[in-house]
Amino acid sequence: MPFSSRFFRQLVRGVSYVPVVYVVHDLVGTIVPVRGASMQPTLNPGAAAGELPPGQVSGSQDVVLVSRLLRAVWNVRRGDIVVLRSPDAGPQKRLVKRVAALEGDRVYNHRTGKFVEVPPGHCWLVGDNRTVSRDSASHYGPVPLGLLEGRAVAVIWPPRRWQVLATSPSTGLWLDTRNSEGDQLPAKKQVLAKSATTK
Amino acid sequence: MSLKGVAFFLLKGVAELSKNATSLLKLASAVYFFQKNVGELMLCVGPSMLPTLSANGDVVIMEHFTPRFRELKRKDIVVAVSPLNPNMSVCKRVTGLEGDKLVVGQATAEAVFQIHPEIVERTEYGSFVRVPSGHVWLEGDNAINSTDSRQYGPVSVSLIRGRVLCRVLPLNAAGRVD
Repeated sequence: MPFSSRFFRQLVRGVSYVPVVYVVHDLVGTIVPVRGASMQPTLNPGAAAGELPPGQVSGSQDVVLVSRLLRAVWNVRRGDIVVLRSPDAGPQKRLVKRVAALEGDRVYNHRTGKFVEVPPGHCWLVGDNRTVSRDSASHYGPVPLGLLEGRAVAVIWPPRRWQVLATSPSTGLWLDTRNSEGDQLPAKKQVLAKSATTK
Repeated sequence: MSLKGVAFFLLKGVAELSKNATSLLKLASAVYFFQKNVGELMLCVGPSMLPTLSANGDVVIMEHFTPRFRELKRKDIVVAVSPLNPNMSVCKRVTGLEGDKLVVGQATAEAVFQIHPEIVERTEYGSFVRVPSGHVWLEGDNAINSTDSRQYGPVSVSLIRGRVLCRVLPLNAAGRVD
């Protein structure tokens, strides 16, 4: 016998830890490599910020730390960067986008020029690189909150990109949001305000 | 039993438990892994799937393979995260797959038009909805008493948790559900 029974015992012991790792991945947090340029310059900036030609796909690949703590009672906030299952391409595909608006908000769709009211149980997602991003504005419309899987809290690889991810986009651009009276909320208030219908 | 005896007994119990804590953790994780990725028992309550599932509550086996690795079929009963409330799940039947063009009523056409105007087609003969890619159309068997795609539009396949395989309780109704 080429493999001793001791080998098998150790193999079984190793395999028995797989579900434990899965529980950590599902309930605590996980690590997700980010692909694509839709969150530039916050994620995957490729060339140094400011030198990136428009439409260029980035070279570097950031790896982010995703928190899944307390997912059941998780209060999604405007400005969070979230990881979600794709609305269009099946549950195996993941997207990383920023939450621009929550249920009850009226959001300005910069692609169509129209205002959209986000229905209950949904959110409005926009990539920081608004011109190339596939997001609520360009394809998906309001996205159900049930698709969200976790919040990206920090970039952990490569080491020169170590940082905690901020709640508002680094470019300073923000979508127009109005409150229920139709008044324009000032930019700072849009990030921190909670709409009346948010849990 | 003397106090000393009780203390000894308790200490022995704690020692035993910490020896077995790792095994307990591994067992609990294995159960959790199984429930999330293979299958689990689910209690379905509510009148929306009458007469197929009772309103008082049926316990069914739900499997997780189909939405991830296989194609859903029309007439499958699935459990999905509610598009209206991410903390709730709904149990409905798949009545339309991606690409299907479905005939819908006026109220449905208007409701779906609010969310996805590009998939609604209104002609003089009636209204149609085209199910977009990566989505399905869900309807409860009890049409009068069901909130489903006719109110919230097509549901993304990524929201579907699993497919109902068979009923377990009540025992006299156990078996395939169709």
